[in-house]
Amino acid sequence: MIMKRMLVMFLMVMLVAGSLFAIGCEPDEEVVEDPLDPVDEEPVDEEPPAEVDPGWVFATDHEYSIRDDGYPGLQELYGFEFADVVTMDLGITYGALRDGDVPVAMGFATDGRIAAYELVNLVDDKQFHPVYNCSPVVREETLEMYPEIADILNPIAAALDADTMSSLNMQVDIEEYLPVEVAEEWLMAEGFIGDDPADMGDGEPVVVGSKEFTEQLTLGQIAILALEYNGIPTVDETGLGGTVVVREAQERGDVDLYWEYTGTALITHLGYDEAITDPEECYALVAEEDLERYGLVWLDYTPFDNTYTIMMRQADADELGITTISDLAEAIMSGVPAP
Amino acid sequence: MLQNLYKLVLVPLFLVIVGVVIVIYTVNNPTDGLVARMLTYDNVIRALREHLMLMLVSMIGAITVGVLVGIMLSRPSLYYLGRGVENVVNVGQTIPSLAILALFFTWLGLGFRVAVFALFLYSILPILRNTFAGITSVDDSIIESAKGMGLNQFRILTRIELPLAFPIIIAGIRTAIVINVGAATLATFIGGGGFGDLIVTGLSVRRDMVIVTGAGLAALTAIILDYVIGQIEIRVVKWT
Amino acid sequence: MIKLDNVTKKFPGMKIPAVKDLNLEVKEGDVCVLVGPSGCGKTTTMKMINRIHEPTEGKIYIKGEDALKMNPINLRLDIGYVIQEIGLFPHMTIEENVATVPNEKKWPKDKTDKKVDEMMTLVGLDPKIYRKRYPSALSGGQRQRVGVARAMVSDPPIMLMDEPFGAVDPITRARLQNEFLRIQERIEKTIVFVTHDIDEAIKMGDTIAVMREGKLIQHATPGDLLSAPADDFVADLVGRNRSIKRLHLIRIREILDDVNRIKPAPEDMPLDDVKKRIEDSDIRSVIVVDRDNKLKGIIGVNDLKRKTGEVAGDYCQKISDSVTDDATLNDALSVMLEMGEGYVAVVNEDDQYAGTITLGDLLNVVKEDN
Ligand SMILES: Nc1ncnc2c1ncn2[C@@H]1O[C@H](COP(=O)(O)OP(=O)(O)O)[C@@H](O)[C@H]1O
Ligand SMILES: [Mg+2]
Repeated sequence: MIMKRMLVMFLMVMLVAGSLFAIGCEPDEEVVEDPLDPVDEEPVDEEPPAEVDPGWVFATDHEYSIRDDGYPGLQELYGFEFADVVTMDLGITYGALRDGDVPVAMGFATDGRIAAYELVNLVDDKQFHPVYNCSPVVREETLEMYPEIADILNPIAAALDADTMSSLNMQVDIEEYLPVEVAEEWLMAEGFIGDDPADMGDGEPVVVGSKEFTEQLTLGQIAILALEYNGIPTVDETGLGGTVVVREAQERGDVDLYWEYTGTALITHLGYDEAITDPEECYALVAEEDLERYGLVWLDYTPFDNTYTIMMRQADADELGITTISDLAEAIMSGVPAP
Repeated sequence: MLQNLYKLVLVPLFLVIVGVVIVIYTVNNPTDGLVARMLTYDNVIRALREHLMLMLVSMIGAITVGVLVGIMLSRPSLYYLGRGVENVVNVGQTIPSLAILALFFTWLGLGFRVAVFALFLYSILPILRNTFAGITSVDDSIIESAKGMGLNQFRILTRIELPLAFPIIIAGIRTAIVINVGAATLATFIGGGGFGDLIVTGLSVRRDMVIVTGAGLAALTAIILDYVIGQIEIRVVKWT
Repeated sequence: MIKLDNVTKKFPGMKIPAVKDLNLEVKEGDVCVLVGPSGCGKTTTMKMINRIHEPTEGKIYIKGEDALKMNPINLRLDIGYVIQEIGLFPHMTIEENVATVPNEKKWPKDKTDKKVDEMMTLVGLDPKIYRKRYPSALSGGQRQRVGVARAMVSDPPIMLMDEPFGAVDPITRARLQNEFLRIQERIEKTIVFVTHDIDEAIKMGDTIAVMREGKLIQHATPGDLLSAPADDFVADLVGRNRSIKRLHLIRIREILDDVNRIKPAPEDMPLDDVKKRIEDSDIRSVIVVDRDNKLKGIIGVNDLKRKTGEVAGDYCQKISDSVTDDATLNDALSVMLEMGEGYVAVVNEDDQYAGTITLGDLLNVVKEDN
């Protein structure tokens, strides 16, 4: 009994001491230097936010809500702030916007639902969002074994412009075709595959991975179909998981090839803080670093840039005369009621 | 008395302090700028408030409805319906919580209320099942001797059946809390907020400190609630 | 007091009625035992009296009033009810269990408390020890006692008891039966008592109603039932050795004065006197008592050979069991067989030595009877 009470008291003392210690701890230097850190400074609050209509709620996925190249950077650059930010799963921001749950949402520029749901991408007039062109990324050893992979996939990547990718995504998301069906039809139509497949080699198969959203699944299938048509055996590991999962699998050698976006690699995999808005510059840097540090080869990149986009409903945008993110920032900060 | 105080108040208080210390420590010692941005007092308090609201609103609803419906189904005239419902409930329980959430999202849209509603439906199941099982498992001879001594249906329910079913109902509520606290972290996928915001945001940028803080606080919440209910049970049920 | 008039009970979905055209009258203060093979309708008959089951046909009168027209809740509050499974409420203390009916009747607390104490004492459970205990902490026999106390606490004029001593071992059962009879002598309730054990019926009943397949075959006093069974079924039921069954009907104290009473030896009696007394005894041993006339032990011839002391107390052996003088001769026989001895010591209510019964005494009773 007494032992127990002493133990409790001891723990309490330790806890209080621990709390005091925790409070007393100086924040890391890095944090102090971070201009976006709301703990030290709240730059946005300095401007009178009193007029912001509480209806201005922003729907975003978790990643965009926190990354430097996401919402925190966006509000910093454009000088505005939403009344509230709701985080949700990546795929449902489009529906939330269409259904009127929120007036503004974040999405990906090439998503098929933008057109289908009568949404509009606001123009990033201050060029905040980094570029996210997409390349097949192959492990060096794999490419040594099958050097022809580059010849097979480079023309395909070159053919994937924004309209094409959007339309492929729409066929899956809205018309509910399977990614493999959409991939096959497009490859056929473009003449990348035909009725005369090469004999299947009996070498080591190439493991093709992808992240788990529509565009990635389709791109994964495109790679598989094209490789197999040219006689390279593959293993289908598409839909493996999030960015991190697929990337780590590739670094371990469990995945040989998947399509990655230049901007993602720059920030997430290579750890750069600053985004690059020129496609060629971004690609060159990423390709060089990734080969050097991880032995990963970036093949040619696509013309389409699946960057983040800020969307509104077309009708609302027309009514409020908003076409750019600056227009939106202006409307919000000047107290225009949310649609 | 002191023993009572120690168990009922000091232990939960201890756990709360553990949570507070975790928060104070992580907020003041972020590993980098991203973590600092996610782990602010505002964010943590908001997540806590949303999480508690998600859990409490859905649990209170689930307990009320689950117990009442469980009682109704245990009446002899509805017994077979009750058996049927019990089977449906057992099947319902095997549907993953994320699937339930996704289902309700497609029907009802997104946000806090939909998340609460999904959690509510999901938490009803164990409570309803245990209420029904608890009441119907009361020995017939006990009911008969109560009836034979002149207790009416209502008195038998309140004096005999419910007290005897109480430990089983509480077990159901505790199961529901465990399910609920886990499922509540998924509410963030449909914009419902809660500790899931911290966990999933942390996951998306691979910041372990944020993930662990969010998950740790969610777990602590569940442990505290479960502990308090367990203590209440021990205090009420003296007869086993 | 209780009258069943042409009562029939047919359960839905059953082809034959569980009870058919039953006429039965139980007089005030009588114990009427319903006996018969399992499934013959005893329980059903009993449960119609407090309307747990409603009769399909016929009428039931209680104190001349039509029971079927009374409010069943009020009816039940005035009928004590004990079932075989006892049905104690496991979540309530003994005190709360016993106070069930007073609480339903909203008695004032002090009255309830007093009555609970009184009932617990009456059934032999010390309230100081057992009031706050839960049923799970009690033995089978103690639970039966609580069941009886709970049924009797509000002093109901009528008690229904369905195999109340069914769930305990034979020795405990005999003890409970005897205690119950002793209580009944004082309280004189009208009791309907169900059992499938004919020996228990003969022992407990003022009258016995023998049932078979839902019908009443014979309703008579135990004596009449033994001497004049109505048909082969009843004769079979009471069995061939009816004379031994008579042992159930006779209390020990009824014969104790007639048997050759061996005088006990006080514990300080000198050895020579003890020797003499043993030689006079027809069981070649002598009972030793202490100063309060309480049983101390027994000395046989062989015990004296050991030369362990000077007085009776130094030689006596413990006696493993005794019977009370209100037990039946059958109980005495059981104890003798249990101990493997030809005698049993008898004590009175105050635990004082009252005499000794031998196997020979029992034989004489049976012989006389024939
Ligand atoms: N609730 C009931 N529903 C249907 N049948 C019953 C019910 N209770 C008793 N019975 C039937 O009635 C008959 C008499 O039962 P019961 O009175 O319990 O017999 P006993 O007490 O003599 O052993 C049995 O055949 C039994 O199956
Ligand atoms: Mg029976």
